[in-house]
Amino acid sequence: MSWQYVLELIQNILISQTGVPHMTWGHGVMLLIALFFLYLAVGKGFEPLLLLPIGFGIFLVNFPIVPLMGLNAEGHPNLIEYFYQYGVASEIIPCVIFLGLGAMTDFGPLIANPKMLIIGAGAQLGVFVTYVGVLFFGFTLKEAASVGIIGGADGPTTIYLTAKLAPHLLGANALAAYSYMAMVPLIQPPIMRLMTTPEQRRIKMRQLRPVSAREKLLFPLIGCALIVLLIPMVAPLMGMFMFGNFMRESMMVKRLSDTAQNSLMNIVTIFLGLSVGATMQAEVFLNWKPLLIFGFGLLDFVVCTFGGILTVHIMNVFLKEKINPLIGSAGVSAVPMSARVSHVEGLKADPNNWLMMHAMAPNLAGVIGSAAAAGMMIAMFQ
Amino acid sequence: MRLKQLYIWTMVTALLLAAYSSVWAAFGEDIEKPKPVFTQEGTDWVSELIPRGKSTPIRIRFNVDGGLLSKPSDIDFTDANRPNINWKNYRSGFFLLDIIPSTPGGEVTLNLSSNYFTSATDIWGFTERKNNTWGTIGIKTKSVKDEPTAISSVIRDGSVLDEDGTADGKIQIIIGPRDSFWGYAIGTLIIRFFGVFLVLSILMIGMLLSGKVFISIEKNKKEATPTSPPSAAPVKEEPEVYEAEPVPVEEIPADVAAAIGLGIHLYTNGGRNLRLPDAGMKAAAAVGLALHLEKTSGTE
Repeated sequence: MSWQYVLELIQNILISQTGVPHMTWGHGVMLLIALFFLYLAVGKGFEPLLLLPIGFGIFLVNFPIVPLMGLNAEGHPNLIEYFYQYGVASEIIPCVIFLGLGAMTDFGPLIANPKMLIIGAGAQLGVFVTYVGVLFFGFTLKEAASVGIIGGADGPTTIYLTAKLAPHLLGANALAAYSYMAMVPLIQPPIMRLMTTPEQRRIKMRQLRPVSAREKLLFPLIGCALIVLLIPMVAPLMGMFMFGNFMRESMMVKRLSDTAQNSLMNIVTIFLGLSVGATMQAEVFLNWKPLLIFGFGLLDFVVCTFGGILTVHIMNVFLKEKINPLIGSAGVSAVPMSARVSHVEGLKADPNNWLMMHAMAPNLAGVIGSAAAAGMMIAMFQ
Repeated sequence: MRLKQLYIWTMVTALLLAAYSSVWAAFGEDIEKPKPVFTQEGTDWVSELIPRGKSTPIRIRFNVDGGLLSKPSDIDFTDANRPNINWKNYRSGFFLLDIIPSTPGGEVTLNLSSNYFTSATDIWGFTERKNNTWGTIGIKTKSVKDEPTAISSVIRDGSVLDEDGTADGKIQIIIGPRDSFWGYAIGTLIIRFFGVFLVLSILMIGMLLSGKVFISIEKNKKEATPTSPPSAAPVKEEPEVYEAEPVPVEEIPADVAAAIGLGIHLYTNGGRNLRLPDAGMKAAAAVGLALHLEKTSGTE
């Protein structure tokens, strides 16, 4: 064995079996992005339940030649590819998350004041405005729809629609959606103040009527039937959402309801975050589209907030009992963050004006509205 | 908060930069280019493809009257060399068709039919060779309910549409079924936005109606709840008298006493902003807080 041979062997090992020579500037940039999101999650507490696994997913897959995504030599999916294929690409995880969300949701405020559903529809304005906006920037129709839904401020819906229409944008869309959801307390108040007068912010709303347990129990059945009948494409999301809610309101399957809300939700969240993060490999992610997505995502949130408040102003023209326009901003889903923002802004205008329960109604309507918008988009491209 | 503001401004800058970059990325790359598969059915040729902006395949049937159609093929935008054409308007792509008319210089009728076509679908091809100008080739559309929309056009051997431009008994044409991209994008957008309103409005009406039913049920239930039954001769009962058992001062546990003390302390020092109308309520608030603290051991 000559020294030459030993050197060649070492060289071969270094080149083919270690990642060091394969590192590119792209990997470096992505690792920095991963660290940035991990910092936001851990250091700043921005949506840590999602941003932490997403950040770690980005971190993991941006080392060269790691067998995590794609197929191995035998043609089998690698570890995170398995999570992605079976969880996200198959659209299972977003639906399971909707099951958990349904089990967590109390529809009481919405049932007591169904007019708030209109605010949930109005707050989808940004979804459609962004859809047109990104088309001007060269996005395809399907990509535009998946970017537009970010403004719905509903993570699982965004992931569900993107996985269906533009899976290559999944990482950017999910990150934009969750980042801006965490920033709702910063994005919304200036728009809310801009679009309302101090008098309007002080409008006091009548206390909501009590909703009986039977009414709450029947809501998921009636709601699901109507929505699924009108937009069949939304059945996977809405069906799971209402099933979770039915379990909760039946009060007969507390164990199942608890599991859906807690253990199951936590398990799928881990796999969802990791898989979504893992789609953001340097070679896929580093182009001009994610930049645009983050820019338009912000615009989307702004227009959705605007749309919700504008809808309240229009409704107030026709209503005898006026609605406080601050709750219009809660029409973007971001449950319960945006409702809390409405409440806090209301308290600033009048310390005795408690808007929380009123704002929860358009907030829940926003969940239904964004899912309906997603269903419409899916139907459009069938 | 400053970090969040920085993040938002970064995104706004990114949007502006991206707006600039979109100049070079005008209309993006064609990642949804249709890949048709052609099969023969009798004398007809059928193309199966997934058009741009759709997830499911469609079928386009090609048929010629007064001639013989060879196997069609799809043709790339660049190959077709139509620099002034926006390929986004041609969602099912461009087709190259070879037709042999029954007589040199003769006319054939080209028929295209598909469920994907609408009454607004047009067929475009050459209208002028010198400047590579494209336009409608002059079509007739036939829409019959439950049947694919049929489009037909008369093509003459050697006409401007014919690639060789000579009446030699062979017609080769490049055409594309055209639907306005922006017309579709904006039209469907408006329909779907109002669709969301419509769906939620229907749900709202359903909920308002069911809410009324439930309110009346609850009301009836309350009215039907039996009150004390009337009796012929009301018996005057002696009210039971409960005497509060005196609580020996020495039996108050130390932790309860501490909790009450803490409650009063919190009220007098930490609860300055509480505005209670009278001394009785103040004392009640203090004792209530103390009992709460005692019950929860101060964990809530």
